[in-house]
Amino acid sequence: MSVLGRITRCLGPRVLGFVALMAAASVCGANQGAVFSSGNLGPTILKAPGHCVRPTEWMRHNHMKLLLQERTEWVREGIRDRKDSLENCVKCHAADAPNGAVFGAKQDFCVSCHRYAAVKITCFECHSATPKGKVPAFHPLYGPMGPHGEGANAHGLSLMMRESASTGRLGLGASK
Amino acid sequence: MSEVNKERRHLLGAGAAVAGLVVAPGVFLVTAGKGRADEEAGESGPQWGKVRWGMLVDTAKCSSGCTQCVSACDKENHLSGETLPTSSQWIRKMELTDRETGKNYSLPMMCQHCDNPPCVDVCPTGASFKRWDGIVSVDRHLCIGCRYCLMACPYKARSFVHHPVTDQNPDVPRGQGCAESCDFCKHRIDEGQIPACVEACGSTGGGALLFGDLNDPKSEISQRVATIATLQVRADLGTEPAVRYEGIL
Repeated sequence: MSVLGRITRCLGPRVLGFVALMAAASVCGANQGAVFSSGNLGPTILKAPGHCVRPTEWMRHNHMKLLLQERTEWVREGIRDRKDSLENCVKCHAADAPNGAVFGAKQDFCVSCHRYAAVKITCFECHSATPKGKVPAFHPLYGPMGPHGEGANAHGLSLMMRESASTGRLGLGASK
Repeated sequence: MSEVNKERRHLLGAGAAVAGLVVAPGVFLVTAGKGRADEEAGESGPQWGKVRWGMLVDTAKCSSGCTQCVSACDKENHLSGETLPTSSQWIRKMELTDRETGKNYSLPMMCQHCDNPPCVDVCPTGASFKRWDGIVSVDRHLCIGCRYCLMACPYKARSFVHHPVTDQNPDVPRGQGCAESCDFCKHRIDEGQIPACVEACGSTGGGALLFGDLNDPKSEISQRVATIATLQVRADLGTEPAVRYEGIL
């Protein structure tokens, strides 16, 4: 058995994963350019067709600030800068996704990084995770495995809400 | 003032100036961003009071039983179309009867886009707001779902989303826990189109709805409200609605 295997058996895979995450985080702090280069531990990022509206490195660190400014101008001023809009992000990043969405399954564009960084996304409780005119392959709030499947862990709903939804109390999900 | 205090003031002032300019490299505070956007937008951009969108409903042309405006609204904004007490209804048809004469009236009722909106007055977070062009709407990012605006609105125009929403129109994000109401299809207006209900009423309905800029004296709606008698619902409250009705005086 390899050294890594022994350590894994002693510590348990979750603890090891945590240690690896911490190590990766410290690398990120030292060199912000090489965030996602740690082999299988990092998230798998789906490639989108075409060029992003900003350099990729800039977007990794600042997309939330860009979206915050955009949302204020968009909602409160009516300045519809389509280029920097969330709708435009979704349009491009969902284009080649297996399920046609940026949110839902764990491999989806937004979820893959946010899952890795353990940052909850609440955008898609209101915003559409699919481009205009496209129908998602499955329910974007639940993921392909249904309300309790793996994809469901990535979304922002509380456990109570998910359970109520699955029991049909909220008029959603499977009815008994 | 002592030297220490002077220094302290100087330092605080400089700190405030820096904080006011930049949040992070390349990202500016809203006020700074607005200035940039105004420059880009030029004459057609947001200028308070320049435009005031309004609607004129001709109740003589609005026939009882026709719900084209309601279905167009539901379709455009991906509303369920249900009429339960907990359903979102941005526009609803009302049937009124004059008790003395027996005359029946049919009219649509929706957010009246008041000039003095009570929903904005009572909102504790600033989520309910009036836009530069007179459209009253909810910034769902700030809405905490307290439902005070539902109580304050004299027209019962606001709805609360009780259930998770799943099939939104990408142009109309909406979700559970937020108050919402008619926003004159602002996503369409910003693209130079008219609201979905007005379009539907004109094509498949009775042509009872007229939409336009009340601040533009040359617009059709301005000329009509200047020449014929129109009514603002509950004008006594001083809310100054932008939606006017003709034929129900």
